[in-house]
Amino acid sequence: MGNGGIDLPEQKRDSRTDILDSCKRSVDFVTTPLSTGKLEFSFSYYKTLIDEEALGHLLHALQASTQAKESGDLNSLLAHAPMDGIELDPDPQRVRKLIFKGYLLAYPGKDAEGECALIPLPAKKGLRSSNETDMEFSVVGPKIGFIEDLDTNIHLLRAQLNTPDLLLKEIVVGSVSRSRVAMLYIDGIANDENVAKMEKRLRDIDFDVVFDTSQLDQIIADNSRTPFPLFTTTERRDRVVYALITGQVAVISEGSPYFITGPSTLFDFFLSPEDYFLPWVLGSFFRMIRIFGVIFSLFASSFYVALMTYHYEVIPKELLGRLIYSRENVPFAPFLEVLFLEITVEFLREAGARLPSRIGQSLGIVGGVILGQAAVEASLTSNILIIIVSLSALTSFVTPIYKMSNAIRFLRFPIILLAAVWGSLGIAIGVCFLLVHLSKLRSLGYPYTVPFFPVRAKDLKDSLVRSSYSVTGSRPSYLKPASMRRYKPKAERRANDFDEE
Amino acid sequence: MSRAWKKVRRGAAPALLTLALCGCGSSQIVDRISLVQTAGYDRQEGKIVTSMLIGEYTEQDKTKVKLLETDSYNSFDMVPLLNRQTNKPIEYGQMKLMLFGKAYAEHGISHVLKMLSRDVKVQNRCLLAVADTSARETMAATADSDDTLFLTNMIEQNSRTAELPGKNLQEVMYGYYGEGRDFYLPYITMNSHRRPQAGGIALFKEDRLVAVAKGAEMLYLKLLSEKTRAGMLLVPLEAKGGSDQYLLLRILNSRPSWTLRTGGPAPSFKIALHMTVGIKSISDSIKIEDVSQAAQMERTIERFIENGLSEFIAKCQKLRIDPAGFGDYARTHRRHWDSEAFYAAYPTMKTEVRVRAKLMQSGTID
Repeated sequence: MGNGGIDLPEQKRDSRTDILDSCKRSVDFVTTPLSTGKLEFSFSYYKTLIDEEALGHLLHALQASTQAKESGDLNSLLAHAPMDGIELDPDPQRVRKLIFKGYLLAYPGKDAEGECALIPLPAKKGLRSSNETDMEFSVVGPKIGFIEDLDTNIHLLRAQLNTPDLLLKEIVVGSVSRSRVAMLYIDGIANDENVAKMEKRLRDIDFDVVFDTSQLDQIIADNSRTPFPLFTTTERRDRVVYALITGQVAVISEGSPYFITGPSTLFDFFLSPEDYFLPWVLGSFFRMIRIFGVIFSLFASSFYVALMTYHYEVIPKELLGRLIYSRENVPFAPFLEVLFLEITVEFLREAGARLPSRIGQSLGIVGGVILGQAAVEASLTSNILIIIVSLSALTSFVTPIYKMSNAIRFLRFPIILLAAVWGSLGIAIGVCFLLVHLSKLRSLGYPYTVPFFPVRAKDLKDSLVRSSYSVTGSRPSYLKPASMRRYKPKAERRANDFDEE
Repeated sequence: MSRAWKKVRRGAAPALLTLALCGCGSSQIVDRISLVQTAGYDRQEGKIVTSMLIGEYTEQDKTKVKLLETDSYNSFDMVPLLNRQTNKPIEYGQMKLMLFGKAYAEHGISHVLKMLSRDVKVQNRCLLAVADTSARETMAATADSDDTLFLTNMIEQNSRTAELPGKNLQEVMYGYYGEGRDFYLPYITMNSHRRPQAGGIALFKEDRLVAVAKGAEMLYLKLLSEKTRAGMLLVPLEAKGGSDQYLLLRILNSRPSWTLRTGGPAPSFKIALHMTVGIKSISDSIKIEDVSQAAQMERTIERFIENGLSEFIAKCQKLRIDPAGFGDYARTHRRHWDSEAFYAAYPTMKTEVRVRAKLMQSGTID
């Protein structure tokens, strides 16, 4: 397998000694001897990858055993090792792989070609211990999020889904990073075809280092020429569990706190776990607010441009005076005025995202309050536009998934440009392009705009509105789950105990 | 040539064309144009005087009203002539009121109507009205109101809460081209303090002003032609003690229902009016204390309105105008309606008016 000319070490058919020699070029790869009465053993490991304390325990246990008994071979020595998962006589490929996962290679003498064993001593240093959700915050409901450790994340999932049907498949991705990528689904709920499709796409990946699951998201996406995220990215446990029980497949890579779940639809990005923790009336109301906010965010400033540049006729007469007054001394055309402010907001957001939170706060004050006020007083923008732009920046953040809000903020700019060129006709053209594009998108082969296009009337009960739990007993049919029934809703209890004597 | 380059070229062509199109777009940035909000036509010594109100929004919450005027020998070159006087190009897409001087309206307004209806920039919701003196003078009288839409708002609020009918371009075009009806417009007079006020209804025949309905006639026309929930009427009561006694009536609800009795050469209509009325105020000496008195009062009101309506219809018949749309009603209820024959017989058309008024218990009666 040629990899663009770069010859990666794992692709060589090396012996164990070759591997050890290549590792020894680094100073943090050490080989320590351990001598018992008869024999001498060598332990080779990366001291930066193993848990020193566990190594101490191991050596202590081994020394205690060698003093008691005078047996010579590796097997009898390792019988006293206080840990599980020891692999005996691994092949060189295996050694190459596991030595980087915090394993220690033990062999008698100085020759690693004979009998040997891999002893797991992985260190979990440098991982954060707090797993509160900080990107996808919610007021009510659990705040359990994932961290950068794969096993912890899977532990978190298993702790909530106590079923043997929750199946885990591990795939190694990345020619340099050799990252473990876990794919989870619930057997008997997820469609087998979806599982197979996801597995195939993951196995097909040829990539060097996987930093984050969101890279996998892009690599396995059905269409890379779209600003829209095609898989839901989340760091919340409740979201992943909900996705699993509706029949989606979840994927996470080692070292990433984010799961991706799919197949996703456009509406998955507008639902928040909170919708399900609040009464359905409130949940639906907040979901509609979110969708309205996104529409407002997309079109508010472009409508300002269109109305101010071309369609002064349709401005209500009560607003006309105010609009004209606020723009009276502004030297720029509405398009430039909007572009100036929108880009300012983007600068603020981008700078705020790169700065530590304490500086970020003062930046918000400088940017939002002082800049805005000064821009109006210097007649560079109208104060009505400041309201519109800051509102549309605000509403772009109402989407629970950050990737979606990025897509929405990006899409504003082409629509503003179209509005500046063709007025409201341009906005209409933009909307048409957007709708055509959205309806062509596929997530894991499934239409992105379902249940609206194609219409799945039964699935509408959990789309724009979040219906009552007495109605949503079945899984969404567009995921083609292996079994439709989630739970059996009971009839409402309306008995009035107060009247009964 | 590589495939990528081809792709770039394919993408660049629409982008460049779009940029080129930017130059073609005629943008009218809202603060770089002069917005006409009220315009007027007058006829003065054989010339046509056109005037318009333009707002200047240099102060917050206050509009400086600027009156521009020019004269010409035709009604068509109003905008180009006035454009010579402004620092920003004149745009009339926000025109909310077109005012005609009385003298101008008497000569016919059809060519202005056609011009307005042909121009897509003119809003269909643009109101039309007739000024008693001249349009210019009426508009000038509103200049100190800080509101270029003073007259528009005045007409709108009066048509919503009182008897004045607000007529926009769409409705006027319907009345003008529609068979079997004549249109009418609000009539604005000047009071003794040189302030404009809603003074009546200008009745048109074809496109010419022929008469003005004033006072109670305004309400009668409204009662006759549409359902209404607003309007006041002063009913004089028979004087017992010699002095005049009045009753101020408030129309709470009124619904006309027409019946065409004979459509043929001598048309005859029955008009039944069901209304609920309340007493707004009444002379002190009159007491309504029991049901029979209230019933008697209802009869008095009914007779008064019946008389008023009949007189108004008779006046219209005499002038050979049909603002209420009798002809239209006959046309939609009889096959083979003949406009000429109908209007030949129009002055002799018989109408029977029946009013059923129900007095709602209001504060003055218990």
